[in-house]
Amino acid sequence: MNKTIVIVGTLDTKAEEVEYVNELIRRKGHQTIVIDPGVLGEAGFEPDITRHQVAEAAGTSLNQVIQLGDEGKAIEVMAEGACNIVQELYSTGRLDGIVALGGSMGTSLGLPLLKALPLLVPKLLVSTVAFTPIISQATASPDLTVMPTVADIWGLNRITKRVLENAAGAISGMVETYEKSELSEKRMIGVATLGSAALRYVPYVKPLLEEKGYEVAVFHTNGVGGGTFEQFVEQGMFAGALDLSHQELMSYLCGGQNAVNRLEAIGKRAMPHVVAPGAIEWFCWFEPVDTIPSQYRDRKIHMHNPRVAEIEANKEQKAALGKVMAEKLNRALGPTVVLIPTQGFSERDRPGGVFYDPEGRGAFIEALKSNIKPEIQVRELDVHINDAEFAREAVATLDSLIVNQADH
Amino acid sequence: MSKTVAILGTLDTKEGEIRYVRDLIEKLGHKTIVIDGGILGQPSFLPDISNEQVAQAAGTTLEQVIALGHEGKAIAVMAQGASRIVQHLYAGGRLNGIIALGGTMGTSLGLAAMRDLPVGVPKLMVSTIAFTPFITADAVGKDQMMLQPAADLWGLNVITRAALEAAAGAIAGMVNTYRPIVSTKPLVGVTTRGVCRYLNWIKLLLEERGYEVTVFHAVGLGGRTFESLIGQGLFDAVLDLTTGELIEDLCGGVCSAGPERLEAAGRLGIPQVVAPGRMEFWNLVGKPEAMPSQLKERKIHQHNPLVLCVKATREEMIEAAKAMAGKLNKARGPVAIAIPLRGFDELDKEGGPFYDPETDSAFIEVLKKHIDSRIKVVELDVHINDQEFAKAVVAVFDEVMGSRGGKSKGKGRRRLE
Repeated sequence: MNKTIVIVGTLDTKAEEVEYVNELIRRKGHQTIVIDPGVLGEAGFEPDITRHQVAEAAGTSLNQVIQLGDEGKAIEVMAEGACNIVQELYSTGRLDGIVALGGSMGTSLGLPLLKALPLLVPKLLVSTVAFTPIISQATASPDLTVMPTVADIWGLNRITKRVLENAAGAISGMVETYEKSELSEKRMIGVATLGSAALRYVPYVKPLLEEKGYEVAVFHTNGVGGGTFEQFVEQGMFAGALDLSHQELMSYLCGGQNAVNRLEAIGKRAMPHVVAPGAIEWFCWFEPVDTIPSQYRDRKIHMHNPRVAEIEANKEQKAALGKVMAEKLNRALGPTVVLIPTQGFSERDRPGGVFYDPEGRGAFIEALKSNIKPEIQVRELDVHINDAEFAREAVATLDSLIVNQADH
Repeated sequence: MSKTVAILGTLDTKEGEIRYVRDLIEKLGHKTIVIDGGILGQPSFLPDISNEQVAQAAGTTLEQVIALGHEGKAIAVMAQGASRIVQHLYAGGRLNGIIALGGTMGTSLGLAAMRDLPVGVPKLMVSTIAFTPFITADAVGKDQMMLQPAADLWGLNVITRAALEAAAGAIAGMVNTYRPIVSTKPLVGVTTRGVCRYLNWIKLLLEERGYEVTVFHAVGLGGRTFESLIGQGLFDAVLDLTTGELIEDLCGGVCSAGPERLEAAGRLGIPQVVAPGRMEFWNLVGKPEAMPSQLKERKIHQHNPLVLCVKATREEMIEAAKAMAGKLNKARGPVAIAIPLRGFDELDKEGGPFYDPETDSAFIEVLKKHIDSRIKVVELDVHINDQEFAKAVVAVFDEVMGSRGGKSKGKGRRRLE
């Protein structure tokens, strides 16, 4: 069961360490491909893919990169070249896993590189700046594994050797247990949701879907899960999507901090979608409350916990979201149905709830309906989004879309 | 060569996932010890160490933990119990690695339980909040690996299974390669950062003298690790030449190593040579356009697409000098300070974006004024990245090591365990 592991590190400064990891992985019986995206200095040993090849893969030459005279810009170019190379290696079956080693520059270079690979491909970043804000939800691949180097990657010593042995062991172990074939065997449904303070349909929809023979993967759409969800849709991971939670898109329109430009992948990959406007009554702010933009200071603000402020979206913003969602759904490539639970879009949107707003809900529905193309079915249901009946309807609708698609 | 892996999680919410990981690790030929840190509900399979035992290890009972009526407080108690159990297993030779999995609560539990295991023992945290602002440098251990599953741990499916397979493979791979850290040479810890390039020379010079050199990237976590490994008694001496984490901490920079930086070596009385490497700026994350308004007037340097450097003011530098003097004055062992008068790092050299000799002088004056007279301050008319600086620092280091009378240059052989 011989696998190929790609090792990325700048060989001007990290040659000794890359060589050590390379040797350890090979000793475990795997093949390796060493990529050197370094810019300055001399490579300490001959890699399989040189810095010249990396620069060329970015459509330039190493000399031109050096002439940029700016380390930050050089890193961006080399990252682009390395991304193209690893994607090519992956698509031609020559990459089963990848490990990148680096300091703050190597990490800046490694992060986009690992993010460019499909989700679930084993990826390990060995970084001197692990758990600093440099590695964030915005920069990290959603399935990343990170290992701090403990000491700096600056030559081999008793500490760095132990860390590199752990890293080599970990990436080897990861590729050994990773079987691509298994990924496509079962039909999986992606479900977008939020915590039970807002949305409570998962305990209903999960068993219903499982009864019908589907597997269920749940995504917490608080500014992170939605991006992963989109990436999986685009990657073709799902047989269908219950995309019922859209606060991230509201946040995107309002400039909130849990923003994700959602409902993009629906226009890139043909796949059955059931969409509902779950939890669009507010958006979130994570930083201290005193940094909330001034135009939102007089809004209703609910502290979800000491670190998360929920800011009310107003009627105009809800109408704007209705229009934007309609425009995005109009681009859907696969069969799509919109379900609207007219009694409320979240737990907060109930009589007595902090963001209860039937009027804003009406404005959203009006704007959505008047902008959506007639081919897309919009069904208003006289229920609340967290009612068992809504869950049953959503599952039945999605199931029929999938079954019909299979019949055609 | 079967090893034992401890598996920690909350069986009330993550039972299926824990069982799956356990079976995988056993299939890979290792023994497992499942520890249940959960509080509510009845697990449908019996762990090796129950939640009741975890509560007892924290000096309480499960009933009392539940009676706290507060999930966060309950988890803190269970984390303490789990940490004691894990350390006890390790000390008894019954644990070769640990894996924990969880969401927000399970991550607090897992991180706290593994952080007091020695460096080098394989530790893997499978966390759905791995790279969120919830995980701060002071919450994580020095060397645990963190794996983020691409979907919520909400039952088994192809995505969570793939993540758990990777996790089981990773921890099994790590314990397979494990061997204790042993060395016969005295060890010197050196701090640096990319913008300080003295290491090329210093490392060679120290190795010529028979030392082994370990380097720490002083960007927050590195400084914390450095301090904590000094505390573990790992080093015979330190060259703490990049101390800019002090000014990060004073100014709210993202690379702060906490308020206790530059204290451990003094507390233990380990010989130290200190320099003000990259003391003239601090870091923020992001784009210049997103800078807070009160910083709009500052000089800014975009280090790379993710990292911004903010030039420190005269007042900030003076505060940093006072802080440095205050900390070093308390040192119980020999200390010397080496000051490169022509600049504290690559950005602070003639033509560099932060070159500012006047402000550097203010720093130096205040440092000299506040430092104890028994501490030698060596001013060198060179830049920190000049070869002469490296040579001079090693000469100062030789002097400091020589000043310790008849002591040998180090304890030498020891195990990092």
